[in-house]
Formats: sequence, C-alpha cells, structure tokens
Amino acid sequence: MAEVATGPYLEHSLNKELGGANYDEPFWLVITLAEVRKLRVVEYSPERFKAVAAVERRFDRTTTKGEIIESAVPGAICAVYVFVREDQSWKLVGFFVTSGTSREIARDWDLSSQWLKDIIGGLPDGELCLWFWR
Amino acid sequence: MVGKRLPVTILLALVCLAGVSCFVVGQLWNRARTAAEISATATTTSEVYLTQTYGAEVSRAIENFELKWRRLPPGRTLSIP
Repeated sequence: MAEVATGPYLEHSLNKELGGANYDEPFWLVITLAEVRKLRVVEYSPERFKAVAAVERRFDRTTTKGEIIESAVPGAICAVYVFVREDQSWKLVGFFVTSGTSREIARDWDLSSQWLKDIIGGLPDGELCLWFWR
Repeated sequence: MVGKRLPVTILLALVCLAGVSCFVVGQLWNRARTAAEISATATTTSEVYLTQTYGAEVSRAIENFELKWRRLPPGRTLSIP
C-alpha cells in the first residue's frame, strides 16, 4: 500500500480498514479496470497536485476463495485526489469523495478529519463531479 | 432672504452628497466585481492549462492508485470506495 499512498492517509486507512478487515463478507470486489473519464487539474507543481476526477471502475465479484461470481461489475466515483511526489513516484495523501449532491458533499466535508482538510486545503470551486455519462 | 433659501440649499447639498456617495459606492462595487471576475477567469484559464498540460500524467497517477490500492492480497479486503 505504501507504494501508492503515504502520510496520514496511509496510516488512517490501514488502521481503519485493514485493522477491521471484513473477513466474513460473502464476497470480495476485485478491481479490474480504473480509467479517468473526466478531470480537472486544480493545482500542480513537481512535488504536489490536486485534481477532481470522475473515474470509471469495474470489479470482479468473487467468493472469499477467489472464485468469480460476477465479472466486470460497473462502478464509478467522483473524488478530489491530492498526490505528493515521494521516491520518484506519485503517492496519494488526500482523497475525498464528491459523488453526492452539493449538500451531501458539504456535510461530508464538515465531518471530515482536520488532517484531511489541511492536506486537501479546501474544496475547489465549481463542479466537483464531472460524471462522464452526462 | 437667506433664511428662506437655507433649507433649499441644505436639501440640495444633501441630494448632491447622496448622489456622489452612490456614484462612489457604485464604482467601488463595480471595481470589486471586475476584480472577482478577472480572478475567476484567471483561475479557470489556469485550470484549463494545467489540465491540458498535466492531465495525462495526473490520470496515470490516479488510475495506478485505484488499481493497486483496491487490489489487496488474499484474505484482506477494503471497503469501497
């Protein structure tokens, strides 16, 4: 995981999600495709960037033994991504989902941790969910 | 004579003062709005430029993250998203 994420985002995600891994789930979703369909690069420097992206994703739904139940389950997400350059690679340091309505986004932002707000540094003005199927 | 004209003069003075005040406020408001519009336009222009210039690199980073972050070793799963 440290290959693609760093900082408090990595620590919090590992503690929150892997610490309480859902071993009893009847199935897993294994990602097979992730393509950025719409993008706004809001800030960019050689060390850091912030972008709003709509990403198309597909998953294989498998049993916990790895047998495929369903292939290519479609999914999509809108989010603000903040990356920093570390060890010659871009690594995620901030991630905030913006798929909902403006009211839901504002509520979720208010409820977000201060460390995440500090890293993202405020939500960009304008459209935060550039759905590609519109 | 002076006593009769004084209220009219004061009234005229007040009207002129109000007019000048409105003009000044209007100018200031217009200037502020123009500055905000210029700033918004500059931000949009900058964003378009950044997206055109760095969009491919940024997309690759996001796609790489999505694919690797959500593909975990057996026995572990992350909630989606």
